Amino acid sequence: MFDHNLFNKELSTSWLGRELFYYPELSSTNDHAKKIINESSLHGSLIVADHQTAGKGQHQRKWDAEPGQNLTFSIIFEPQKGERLSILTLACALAVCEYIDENLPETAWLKWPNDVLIGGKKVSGLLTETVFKGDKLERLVIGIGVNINQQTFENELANSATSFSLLDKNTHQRELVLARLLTRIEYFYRLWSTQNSYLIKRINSKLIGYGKWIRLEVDGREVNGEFKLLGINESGHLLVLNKELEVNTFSYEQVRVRFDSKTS
Amino acid sequence: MDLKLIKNILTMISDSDVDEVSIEEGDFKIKVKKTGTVEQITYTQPAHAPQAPVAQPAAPQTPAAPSAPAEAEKSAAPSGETVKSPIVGTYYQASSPDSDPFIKVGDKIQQGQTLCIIEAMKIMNEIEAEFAGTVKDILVTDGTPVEFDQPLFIIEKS
Repeated sequence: MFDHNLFNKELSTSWLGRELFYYPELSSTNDHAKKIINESSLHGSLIVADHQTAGKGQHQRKWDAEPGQNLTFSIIFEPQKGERLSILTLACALAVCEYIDENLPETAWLKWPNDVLIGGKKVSGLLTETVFKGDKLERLVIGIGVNINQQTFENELANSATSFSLLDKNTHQRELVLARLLTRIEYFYRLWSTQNSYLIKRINSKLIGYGKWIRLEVDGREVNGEFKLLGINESGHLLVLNKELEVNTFSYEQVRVRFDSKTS
Repeated sequence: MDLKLIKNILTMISDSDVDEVSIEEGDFKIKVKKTGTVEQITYTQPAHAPQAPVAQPAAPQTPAAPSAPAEAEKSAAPSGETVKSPIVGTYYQASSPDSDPFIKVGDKIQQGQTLCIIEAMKIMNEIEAEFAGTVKDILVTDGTPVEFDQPLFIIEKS
């Protein structure tokens, strides 16, 4: 179902996706990517499945995808340090965003910390996992799901998910989308590994609510007043400005962003 | 509130033998207390300050007083290697709430076996065993925050 020739013809990366492991069916590309054993480095390797039987979303929520219609893949990275990993996740999400902006009649936005939305509906979700041996990062796995040609979404997804095909009524070649996404991800990886601040700026400019007044829930409780969303910082934490013009920083564990009618 | 100042104070105290410090300057008042390996921070702001959320870039999200497990265990527990957390995050003993824990006290474990998951910024970090052995003690509770370098397990090498 996956056209390797088309993929290879389109692939213009120097190292990302040059090693491809394809499976018609896997329980989860991330689980496989974490366990796969190889003599040499797997940095940049790609695990692609046409169908995930136990695809994982946030909080182990199942990510249902029709077989062969969408892209479900994982990338293995072996970075030097296990730092700023959430920035790399966002950089991969940004690649999906920018692809959509250039190839579809709609604009996509990043939902911190790891989703891509179009008109409030999810078109792509990412899940990052790592393997540490002792204090050493052995492997970083970024799982990316993109809804490409899926026509219908069931149950609670009906109003909260969308696909490329639903947006422009065309059928998209998944191999081509994947190859072009990888070019962008490879470029962003270089920016990330050299701590180029341009990457953060680019992520922030695509962040839902960026520069707007939003409401916050901190440690499960809604906080009085509004905050201006300043984006994320170098460690992936959320920066907000309060009405007294003080900057506050929050980790994902502490805070949830709430958009009310005024800011949406 | 000067976040940099608070961060500096925390660093200063954790690097020193001092257990408790109170600083007052104008209407800024800060009190930092060290209990075991975890620093607790309390501070008050001027009364006119708004009910802003408290930003805690340097201060750990103080867990319910895990009082220096390493120190206590050294004498009580049988000899073994201490496995420490490589990152700050939330400790999970299983891959999902309805799964069995990765390890239990008394389990024999293999090198490369998954010991736990530490979640940080929505990233799931699997911690694998560096060596084979027997689990002598588990020093953390499921779903609680852990600090960088906080002891997680005592494993006796086989």
